[in-house]
Amino acid sequence: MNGEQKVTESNEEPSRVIRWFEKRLNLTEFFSTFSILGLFYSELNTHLPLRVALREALSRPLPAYARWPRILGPMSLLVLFLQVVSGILLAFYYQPTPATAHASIRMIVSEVPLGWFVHQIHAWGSTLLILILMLRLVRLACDHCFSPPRELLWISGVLLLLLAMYADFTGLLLVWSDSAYWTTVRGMEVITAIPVAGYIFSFLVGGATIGELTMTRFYVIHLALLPMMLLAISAIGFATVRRVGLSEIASEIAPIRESGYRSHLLSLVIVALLLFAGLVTMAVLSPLPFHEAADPLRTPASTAPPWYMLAPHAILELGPGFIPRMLRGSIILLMQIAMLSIPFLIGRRQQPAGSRWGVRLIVAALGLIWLALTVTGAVIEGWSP
Amino acid sequence: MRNRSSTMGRVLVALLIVMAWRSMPVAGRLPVMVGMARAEVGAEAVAATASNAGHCSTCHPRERVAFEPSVHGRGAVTCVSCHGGDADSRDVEAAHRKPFTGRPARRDIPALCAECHADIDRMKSYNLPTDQLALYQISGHGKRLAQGDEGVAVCSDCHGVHDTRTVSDPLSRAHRRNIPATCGACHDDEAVMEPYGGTTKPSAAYLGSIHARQLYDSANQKAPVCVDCHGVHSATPPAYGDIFRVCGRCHATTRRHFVAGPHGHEMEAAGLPGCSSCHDHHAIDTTPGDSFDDICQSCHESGSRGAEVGGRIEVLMQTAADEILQADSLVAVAAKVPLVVDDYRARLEEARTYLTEARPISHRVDVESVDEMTRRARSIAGEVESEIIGRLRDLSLRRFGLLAFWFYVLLTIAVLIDLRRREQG
Repeated sequence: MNGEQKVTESNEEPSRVIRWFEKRLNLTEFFSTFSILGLFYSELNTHLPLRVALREALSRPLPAYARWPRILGPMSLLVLFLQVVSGILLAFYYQPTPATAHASIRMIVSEVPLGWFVHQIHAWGSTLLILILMLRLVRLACDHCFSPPRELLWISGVLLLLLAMYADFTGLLLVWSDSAYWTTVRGMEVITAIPVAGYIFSFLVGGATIGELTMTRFYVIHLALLPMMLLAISAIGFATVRRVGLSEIASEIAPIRESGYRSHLLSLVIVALLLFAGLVTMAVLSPLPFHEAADPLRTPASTAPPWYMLAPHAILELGPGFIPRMLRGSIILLMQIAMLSIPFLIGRRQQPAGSRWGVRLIVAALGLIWLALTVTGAVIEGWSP
Repeated sequence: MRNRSSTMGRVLVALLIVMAWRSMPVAGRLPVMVGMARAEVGAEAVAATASNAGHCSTCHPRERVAFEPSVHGRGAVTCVSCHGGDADSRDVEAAHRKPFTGRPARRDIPALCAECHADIDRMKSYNLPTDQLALYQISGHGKRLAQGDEGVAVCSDCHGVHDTRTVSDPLSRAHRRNIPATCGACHDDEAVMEPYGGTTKPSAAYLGSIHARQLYDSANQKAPVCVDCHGVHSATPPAYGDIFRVCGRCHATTRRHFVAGPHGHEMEAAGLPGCSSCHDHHAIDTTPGDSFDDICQSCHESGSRGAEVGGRIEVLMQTAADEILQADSLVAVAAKVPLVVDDYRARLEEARTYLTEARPISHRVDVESVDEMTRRARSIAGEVESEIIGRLRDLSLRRFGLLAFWFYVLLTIAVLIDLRRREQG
């Protein structure tokens, strides 16, 4: 396939509709907004008309780093897209007041056709998003993707994970079931234990107790603020990839492939289909349970912080009691700051290819420690394998 | 010249006393003030703050201690009101001068209390009834007392002697919650009841009954105690023929069905104790649904028509209860899915209500009327069951849909992989 020929040949006339728009707008400019979100890893030439620009971009050789280990990034974006669509469908029926929230969700689940399906996709999708972003961070660390000039990639990855956890947290309270309500209470206990960040986040509760004000704030955050912030941070991540490429190590050792973007897009479609099928399977075989409406005056027998907060919860609860809670919270804050500033702490030195295994060992050890802390946190709350 | 230092010293001491007085907390000043007050007030004033006991308590302190917090002690009743004599005298003989009556004889006590308590004029300001003596005289206790038996209960045995309290006072022996113990003090005692033919220990039996559980555990003040069925001052065991009327005062629906059935007036005519034939006199408890056979066969021979009717009623009620239980467990399964089960729960409540209504109706001992209720209960439970099973079956359709979905997904992925391979050349 001769790429150049494709660019100069314009046998097919664009349709009348596209020509009407092309006279009044720069369509390529609009389409490049999509490309910012990762549809293409390179920029579109906005001086060309749309079809020509697309043909030119699609016929570029596929960069070496567009291989399967890098799939977690686009996967997280696909899941985010699914969450936005299912979330909008849910928002058509959901009513955000403590008195009516639970009843509206019950109506969605039982009366709206396929409402149960959309609800389960959204619920499982949030867990899947957090898992994908966690695995992506592990992958980035293993491939040393935090050393300059890729600091922004790492930072955006960490921020995406935090924002996804926050979206899960705010979305959970909106259900207003007793399990959701008390999980939020326990989660806020963990958050407020962290010195500076906790204080900032706790103002979002809107008072001493979780109530109507909290629900409104969480609703606004979950529907308006967080999706925009997630998209913005994703855009920064994709933009830095476009500028600096994904990984020096990968581009060094991987041969350049000549296949075009079309095959890459097909791979993305396959991945999206598999993701969706996975979510559908979870929705049908293992739907998340539907609890009773929340009663702030009655605490159920077993509540725990959300699963992704069990590790900091274990740090806050374990160990000798003479360590004050504020100190433990500071430890968690220091760990978060360290995570964010890894590029500036250890990324300076350029690692030769052979020592990748050292980093991988450290990453594996940290992952195991996190897993052990999470399990400990669960056991503290009464879970038994 | 006067000694300056001594003047200064006196002024200083006076200052100190004033400062100490002002700095003492107000309560601390009180004994000093009372002492000063006492010195001022005369003897009569002192006497006015003392109790009604007058000087009787000089020799009878224990009685005064019991009397003071009682309802009489806080009122206008004095020792002299019941015992006569002279309360102001400090001399024993003068105090015990006529018309001193001393310790009244047991047979005189009802009349003594009635001197005030049967006097309408005196009792009207306290809004108390005045028929106690009249009722007592027709009671089992009163009749025996009139015949000279002083071993029966008189007013003081239940209401106390000097420590009489109002019946609404929980410390009174005549308070509702204490009545089984008060009556049982004599009626459960073998030695006391021996001259009257022994005792079946009714109070102990009562304490195991559902009435006692309602009164003590559930704080249901409407639950009956001894006096509700036997009368308060007119205490008599009801005649056997009257038992269903006594129970029927509260259990009105049951009474109506009982009287309409073959048991009603026939048992009265035969001199059989209506309700107590099946439910015991005092140890009354809820009847388990599977005990019809045993209860009916305690009078009706096995195989007779009576026993057969009892058996059929038992079968009807048990099958309805079982179906409701089955539907309940299905509702619990459905709620976990989750399905919306509020409607099912409400309908099962309706079914349970029909079953509850069947219980008083069963006293009519008529299979048709019981069947009317149990049939409705069973049909509602059956409807709920079949609806839930239908919805659960619809859910299993989802899994079949999942299979079909995966088939198409794999097909599509195969096509896409093929396309991709062609793209890559």
